[in-house]
Amino acid sequence: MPPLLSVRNVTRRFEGLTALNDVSMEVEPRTIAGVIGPNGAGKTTLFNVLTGFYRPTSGEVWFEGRRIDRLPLHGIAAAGISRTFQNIRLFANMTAIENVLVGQHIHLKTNFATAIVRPPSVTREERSAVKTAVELLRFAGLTRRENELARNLAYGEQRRLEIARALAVRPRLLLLDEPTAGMNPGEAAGMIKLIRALRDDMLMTIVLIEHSMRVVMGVCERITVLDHGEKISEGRPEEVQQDRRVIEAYLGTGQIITDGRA
Amino acid sequence: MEQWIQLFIDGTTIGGVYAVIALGYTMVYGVLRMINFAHGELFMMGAFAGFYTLDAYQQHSGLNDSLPVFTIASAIVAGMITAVVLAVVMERIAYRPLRHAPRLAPLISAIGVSIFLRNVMLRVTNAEAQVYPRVFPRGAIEWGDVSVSYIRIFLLVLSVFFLVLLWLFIERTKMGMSIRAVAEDRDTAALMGVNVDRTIVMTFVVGAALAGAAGAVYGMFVTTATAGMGFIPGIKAFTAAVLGGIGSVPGAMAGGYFLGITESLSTKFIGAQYKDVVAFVLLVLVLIFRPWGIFGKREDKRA
Repeated sequence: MPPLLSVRNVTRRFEGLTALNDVSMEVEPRTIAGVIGPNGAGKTTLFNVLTGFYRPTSGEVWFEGRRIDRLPLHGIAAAGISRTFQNIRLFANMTAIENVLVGQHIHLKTNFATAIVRPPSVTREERSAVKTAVELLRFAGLTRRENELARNLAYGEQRRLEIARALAVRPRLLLLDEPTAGMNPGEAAGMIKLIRALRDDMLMTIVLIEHSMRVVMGVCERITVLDHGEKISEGRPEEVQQDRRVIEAYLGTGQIITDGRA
Repeated sequence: MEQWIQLFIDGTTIGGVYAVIALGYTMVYGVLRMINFAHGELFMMGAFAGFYTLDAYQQHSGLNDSLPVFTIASAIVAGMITAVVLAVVMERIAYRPLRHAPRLAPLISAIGVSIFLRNVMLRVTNAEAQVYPRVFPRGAIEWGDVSVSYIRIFLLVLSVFFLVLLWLFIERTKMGMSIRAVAEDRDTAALMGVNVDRTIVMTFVVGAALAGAAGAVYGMFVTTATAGMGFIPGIKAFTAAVLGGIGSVPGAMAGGYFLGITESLSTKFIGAQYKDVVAFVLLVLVLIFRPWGIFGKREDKRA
């Protein structure tokens, strides 16, 4: 089976600083892949390249046999990729369900004229959009929180809402940027369950960035390790764990053994 | 007591106009973090479109007398269409190329557009005030000492109608939701598949439609159109938007009525000639002491 996502020799420079240097990776359909590395390794830069926030200085990104590194931001969603953010970026003053509805917009046919005239087809479509949104919220564990403003949700709920919103785009690839960051062990365990359910029940392909080794080792099938913008290792979790270069990169922080957050 | 009611009604009438115009400022600010200083000129162009429409009916038909409902409605629609077309063009050529420029650049560009439109109309009209044909039945509803003219009632009802319509649009429709999403976080909205450029254009379209309609009706109310007529209402509506907390839709509505009523009361207690002074003193005070608006909540997140 051809890879769903293929990152080919991507380099990204910011005036003198090379945030990503010739990084390549492939992600197979319906797998959970992890990207790890110490702070400043280029993990978030990689996500920003994948989602069109940054253009690669050189190299290419292919998704489902199509080159995507030149697409405008809103084209990424249309292509079938969605993401969450390390520092939560919900629409804070909109309700939970509205956040999810915005994600569904590209799949609705209503335009400006029909939004005002409102023929029955529009009403029907909107009703089904609301129903889907409620189901997504339930899947993400946010039952009965639909009409709460996003900013009033608890921290863990906000992270879940970001996932529900990302799913509303109906992506085939979901990028999760530190999904358990700042969570207590109970919340983190719930999040890991949710990530597994995304793959098993929704047949999603997932790439996640993580600091927490426990999460990465427990949930990812393949891991790519970045350090100073370069790929220093990749493979199955147990392989990566044994890799001398990985151990060296993390040496002194103790992160490889314990759960540690930098 | 009756005097109070009179002042209150007069203030609500003009306040409704401020509120309708203020929505354009606040919505554009919401999505672009920019004050569209040419917004008052959209109002002015709406008034002229309304004037030319009514004038054409006057010259070529008797419809202004036989079917005023139709001519008034078409004047309002003409005002809306004119303002919308101008807004789309100005967004395209004066603002969009400056989307990533320093914040001052689009502001200066907006002032340029404003001066341009005003001077076009000065040229077209030879700087003469254009007098509207009389389409509205004269007369008023009297209640004791309180007297409310028909045009005033029309203005009052119409502004409430537009405010409700806009509220439903913003809260209930997909496009309204996109506008709110872009206002909160443009990049994230784009990543969720919202077409940001189209949403920004729609914001201009909606704001301009309201300003154009307000211009046409206001023109009928004051019975003249002049090239400079957009300036004071424009600045007042901007004041209303700031009073309500710039970027906030309900704030702009409340701010418009608040300003209209304050002005109206000040004509009684301070003197009619100080009406504008009162409005701008209010603006300065709010900017100094509560820059997030009288009704707005302090939001540190908003830059």
